[in-house]
Order: sequence, then C-alpha cells, then structure tokens
Amino acid sequence: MNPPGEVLEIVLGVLFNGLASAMILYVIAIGMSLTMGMMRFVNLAHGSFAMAGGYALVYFGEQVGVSFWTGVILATILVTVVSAVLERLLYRRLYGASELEQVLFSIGLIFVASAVARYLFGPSTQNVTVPDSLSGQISLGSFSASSYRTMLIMAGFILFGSMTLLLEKTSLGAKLRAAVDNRRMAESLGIRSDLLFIFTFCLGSALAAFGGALGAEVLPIRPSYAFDQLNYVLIVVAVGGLGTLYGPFVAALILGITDTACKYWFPELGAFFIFAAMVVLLLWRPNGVFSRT
Amino acid sequence: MKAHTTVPPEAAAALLQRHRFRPIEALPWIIIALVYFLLPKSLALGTQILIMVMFALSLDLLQGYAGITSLGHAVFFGTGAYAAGILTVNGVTEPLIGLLFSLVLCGAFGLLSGAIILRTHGLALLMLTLGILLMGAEFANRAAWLTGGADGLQGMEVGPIMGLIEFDFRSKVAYVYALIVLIIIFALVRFMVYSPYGRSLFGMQQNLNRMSAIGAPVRARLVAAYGISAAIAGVAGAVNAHVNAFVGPNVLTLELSAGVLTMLIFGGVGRLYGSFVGAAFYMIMHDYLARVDPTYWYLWLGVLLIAVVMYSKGGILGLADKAWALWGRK
Amino acid sequence: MSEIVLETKGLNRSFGALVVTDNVNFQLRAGARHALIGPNGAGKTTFVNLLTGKLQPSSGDVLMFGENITGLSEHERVKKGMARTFQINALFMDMTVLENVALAVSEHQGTAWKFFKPLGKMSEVIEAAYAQLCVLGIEAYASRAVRELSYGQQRLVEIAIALSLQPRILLLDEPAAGVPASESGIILSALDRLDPSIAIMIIEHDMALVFRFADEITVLERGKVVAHGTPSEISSDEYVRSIYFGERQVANV
Repeated sequence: MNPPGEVLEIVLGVLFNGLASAMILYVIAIGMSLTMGMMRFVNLAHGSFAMAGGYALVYFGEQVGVSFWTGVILATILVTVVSAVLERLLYRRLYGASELEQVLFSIGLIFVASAVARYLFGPSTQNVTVPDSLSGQISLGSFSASSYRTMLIMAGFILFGSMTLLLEKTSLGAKLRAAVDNRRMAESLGIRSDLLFIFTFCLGSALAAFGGALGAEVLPIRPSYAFDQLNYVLIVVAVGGLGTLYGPFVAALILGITDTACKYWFPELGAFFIFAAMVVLLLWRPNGVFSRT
Repeated sequence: MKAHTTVPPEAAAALLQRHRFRPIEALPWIIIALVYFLLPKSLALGTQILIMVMFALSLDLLQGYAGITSLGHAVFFGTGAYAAGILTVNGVTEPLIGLLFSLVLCGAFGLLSGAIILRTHGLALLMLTLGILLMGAEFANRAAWLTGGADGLQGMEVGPIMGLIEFDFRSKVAYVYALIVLIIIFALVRFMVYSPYGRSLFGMQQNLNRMSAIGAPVRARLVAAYGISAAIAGVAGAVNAHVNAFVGPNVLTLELSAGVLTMLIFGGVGRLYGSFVGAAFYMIMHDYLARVDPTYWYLWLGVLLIAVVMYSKGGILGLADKAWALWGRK
Repeated sequence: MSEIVLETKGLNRSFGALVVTDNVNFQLRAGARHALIGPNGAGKTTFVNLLTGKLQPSSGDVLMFGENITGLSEHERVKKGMARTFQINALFMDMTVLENVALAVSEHQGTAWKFFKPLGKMSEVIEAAYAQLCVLGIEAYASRAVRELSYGQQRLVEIAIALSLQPRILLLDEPAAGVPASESGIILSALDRLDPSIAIMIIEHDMALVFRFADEITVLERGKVVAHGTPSEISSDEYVRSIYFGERQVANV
C-alpha cells in the first residue's frame, strides 16, 4: 500500500503528463476545429501539417543547425507557406464537395505527405535535440517535473489565451466568428469569406505545425504521424464541438488526462475507454459537448 | 379503385427494363472465370480481390445507395473474420457454418450499432462509425485470450467445405469458394438495388425530407440497410479468415476502411460493378507497387485519390460512360 | 357543418426564448378550402411542420379525425392520410418523374419494404403512378429526370407525389412560390381540379390565389392567430389590412 504522499506524487505525475499531451493535442486540434467550423471541410490531413512542422524542425535543427526555438519558428513559417499554396491550388476547389470526396481527398493527401516524409527522412522516428534549458527538471516542492513538459503546458495555456483574445477582442476575430456562425449572413454584411478562408486555413496549419514541432518529443515524428494522431485529434474536435475555443480545450484536457490515467492504471484496457467515452459523448451531444447549438 | 391504365412503353421504358440482365454484365464474370483457367499462379491475389469485391459491395449499399459515409466499416469485416476464426479454433472447423455464424453475428452487430448511431448525421455520424471501429480494434488488440492480441489468432484449423472439399495450397478451392459466395451476395444485392426498398434507400440519399413525407419509416429502413451491409461485410471477413487460415489485427484498421472507400471511388460509387472494377484496380496496383517499394505505393495511391476526387468523381466506370457516349456520337 | 378532420388545441412551440407558435387553436374541416396567411416570419411553415410531425410542439395537441396524434412521427401521420408539399421543391432530382411518383405510390400501397422484387415488375405501382401523372397533365414528362424540368413543372410533380398518397388531408406550402408567371396558370388549374372531398390547407402569399381558392382564411402573425373568417370578412378586417400595410399583396376584393 503506497503511503499517501507517494500516491499523490503518482497522481500528480499522471495528471502532469496527461496535461502535457493534452496541450499538444489542443494546439494541433484547434486549427482543425477552426477550418471545419468555418469552411465545413472535413480535413483529415490536418495532422500532416503537424507532421510537416515536426520534420521541418528536425531539418532546421539537425541539418542546418539552428537553435530549437528558431527551428520551431522557421518550421511554422515554412509549413504555413506550403499550406497557403495547397489551399489555393487544391483545397478551395473542394469546399462545396460531398463529405465522401473531402474525406478521400484528405486521406489521399495524408498518403502523399507520408510517402514524401518517408522518402526524404526514412521510415524511422526522428530524433529531436531539445535545448539544454528544456532538458532538465523543475522542482515544485517534493514534486519534480520535466521542464520540457512544463513548457508544453505553458505553451498550451498561452495559446488558448491569445487565441481567445484574438477572437473576442479584435475585429478580425469578430469577422471570423461571424463567418463560422453564419457564412451567408456574414457575406451579405461585406465580409470577404474567401480571404477569411485562406486566413483561417493558414492559421490552422500554422498552429498545427507549431504544435507538431513543439511536441516532437512527446508525439514521435515518423511517416505514420498523421494516422497515429488522427484518432485523438478527431476526438478532440468532434467532442469539443466546432467553432468554440474552449470546447476543444476542455475536450483535450479530459482526453489527455483520462488517456494517460487509463494507460497507467488500467493498461489492459488501453485506449478502449477513450473511444467508448467518445461514442457515448457524441451520442449525448452530437454537435460536441461544448458547442452552442 | 383506379382503372387499369396502360402505360405507354416510352414513358416507363427505363423503369421497366433496367433490372433486366444486360449482355455486358457477363463480362466481369467471364474475366473471373478466365483468370481461374489462364492465370493459375495469380489465384491467391484473385481470391483476395473477390473478397474485397464483396466487402466493397457491402459498403456501396451504404455509401452509394443510402448515402451514408462510414469510416468504420472494417469493424464488420474484422468481426466476421475473427468470429469465423475463433469458431475454428474452438473445434467448429466447417467453413459454411462459420459463414453463417459471421453473417448472423455481424448482422446483429450492424442492426444494433446502426440503431444507436444513425440518430446522428454529418461529422458526428462519421466520428461514431470511426469510434466503433476503434473500440473493436482496441478490443481485439487487448483481449489476447480471445483474439490472440497483436500477434493475431493462433491455431486456426479450417476444415473441408461440407466435410468434402479441402482447401488446397494453390488457392484453387479458395478461389471457387470465394467466387460462389460472391455470386450469392451479388445476386442479393442486385435484386435489392432495383427493388422498392433499394430505390427508397436511394430516395433517402436524394431527399430525406421527401422520403418521410411520403410515409417511409426512414430510420428503420436505414438501420436495416446498415444491418444488411454489416452482415455482408462479415461474410467477406469470414471468407478472408477461411482462405488465409489466419486473422490478424490488420482486418480492423482505419487503413482497411479507407482502402475499401478508395476502391469504391476508383470504380464508381453507387454502381453495381463499381466494386468489381475498383477492387480489382486497387488490389492489382497494390500488389505491383507495394512489392517494388511501399513508399511508391502510398505516393501513387495518394496522388490517384486526389486526382480522382478532383477530376473524375464517377471513377473508372464514370470515365467509361463518357467514352461510350463520345463513341456513340460518332 | 362537416366534420373536423385536423385540429390543434393550444399548440405552442418555442426555440429557447423565441416563441414561434403561440397558443394556436385551429380547425380544418372535411372538404375545406382553407388558407393560412400572414406576413413573413409569422410561423406558417413552422405550423405546417407541427401538423405533419416534422417538428414536435413544446405544448398542446394535434388531433386528426378526433384522435390525438401529437406523439406520432411524420411517416405515421402520412399513413393515416395526411400529405404535404414543401415550400421549396423536395424531389428526387436524379430519378424520373414517373419513379418519383412511383415511390410514393409504393409507400401508399404498402409494398415499399419489398427488397427482392424489382420495382419495374410491379405493374400496380407503375400504372397508378402513371395515372396520377395524367391527372395533373404531366404524363409527357414521365421518363425525364426531374432535374431536367422547369421549376413550374417540378412543382406539379411535387403536387402529384402528394396526391398519389390518396390523402384525406392535404397541406400545400406556397404551391405557386417560385413559379414564373407564365407557368402559374397550370398550378392554379391543378388546384381547381382537386377532389372536393379532400380537406386542403394552403399557405400562400399570393392574395389573388388565396381569394380565388379559399372559403375560409386564418391569419397568423408572430405565431398567433389574429383573425379567422370568410374571405370577405378578412379583406375588410382593419387589423389584417394594417399588418399587410406596405406589402403589395393586399388584393382589391
């Protein structure tokens, strides 16, 4: 029987790791929630942008030799530019297409991205050199936590805060929210939806790339990345509901913590509980647990 | 009481004739028979193609006719495979019993899950179909005492069909076995598609509001379609288990669900023979390219998918239609 | 006074704080030619949806032939003899005109569940469907896909589908809406030829049509019934004139 102090430590440890995973998941998922809510586009390939961010970081960090943070920023910029090109060339032709077409298109994109990654970097998981400042531990009383994971958690909260500020306090944010709520009405008010689309798409991809790069230690960078993470990201988006920021945030929190806890205490169940929970939650609230409809 | 009205032939020509067997329909079956006699070394691949045609047909009932997009249809294929496999591990080695067992089990599973999830639509429904697949996959992975876990089902012993015909190592028996099952399934699906029920499914895809407004119990019909589709997929899975004498977790993957959807769009969604063309095309391409380099397989698969979605939504059969129409004009 | 075939008692429907149907008591009699009018947003289509079962009321009852049907689903009410047309055509665009009606006939005849017999072999269905097309004068389009027809012709298909269900109650939601002036005559004559024993309620904005067609008019405003009576009573009602003030549909009767 573990002494209470130790139990607390274990629980905190689980919570902490769960939180870190959740934050990365959130950063990646928020972009998908925005694009799905705004453009009604089922973009399963969203994870590929995160993967691209991770690979770009590896390239800039390992092969070009820049520092971690420079690498993250460069990776984000590079992937955002690529995503803008893809949006202009491909995505925009499919905005009105059927669900099946969008699903298959994005699956096709995942395959292509995954093949390119394999070709350029090989099939194994990439090593990311985490800077010294992040590779240690932080002590909070008797509890010590990995600095890297602490950084992830902070990044998640900061992002949530700044996205909320962007959406709630700026006029751009107001236009975004209007277009998500009711696109036709927004257009009749003079809001240029095509510009908003490309902005949202690039913002979403930037966030995904940022998350993929930042979380490269936690979510391993390998060619199957998009498929590996697809399930979890989709769960966060579907359960969180489209069009709100806090919905996916809370969903990611619950998912990340519950998943880590289950894997620690009930490893026989694995991820079964998470998937079952998603099914139940979606049946209860098909529009997402936190959506406004 | 309405008087007996004669309907002039030109008014109803299409409706009265379309269910009749057209000569060109013999073509795929002739090809299937020719493969047996002329390409004996390819019978293993041929059997897999026949199994995938069955699986694709089951999904087309949902996608092409009822208009339901499912990312999780592999769960029925996998359940059918594991059910048939587990049956043989536990002493019931006669394959036809296994087929029947999988049919009933997956049909019930389909009816039950359909009744629960078909209350939703759009993204929620898509996610729910995926969720059920993921639950099934995770269960198969964890319940090693039943399914063999990540290593797959060990100790399968598939007995002779009806106690008489043993499976051989050249896949000849397997091929004919799969073919006969396919013929039965295809006949069923073909009748269904032209029946009032089948047309009402298509009606639901065209305009759901109108279907309720003419008195159709829409939800019940959709759940029935889901159950039938699941049963057929389960039979396909069982055949797969029998001919391979093995079931592994790869029958319960998103990759398989995506693969069969891809086959449909390659061949042509909502067309009886789309499944044939699409499955053959996909499997042959996979066989050729994946041997050379898996990277190329994924690359070309992805590029083709994107190209088909953007330029040729009707798939290969759609292109054939256009070519036929062009030729007809000359 | 003929029997009441369709009735609502204290029917209410709100969406959150928005009340779209406000304590509506409504009666439709056998053989009625009853019009439901009101300004935009009055809740007319919502009311029809409540009658057909597409929408459930927040409170109140719907009765059909004296029986409380509030809990019945849409398709159950259709089976009992109610049919409707939609404000915007709800048709099977890629099917032929004949097949559109045939599906409805098949539902009505109770053969729609059959999954083994080809529809093409069901002569009772096909003949009845064709006969229905003849009644509306659109039999020439039988083998054309609905998508190819003009909007006015499609509107006739919409009515044909509803009629093929042999309804005793027919709810028509703006049957002339969207139909160009050149084609509205055929819609009007189709309405004129409808079986006098069917109870018909029609939602319309076109006042000329309303006054030509209806024996009885109910006026809805913001979900409430604000007037009810014969055409001459309604056209001289001050309040009704006032709520239509500014809309150029007030007819000179």
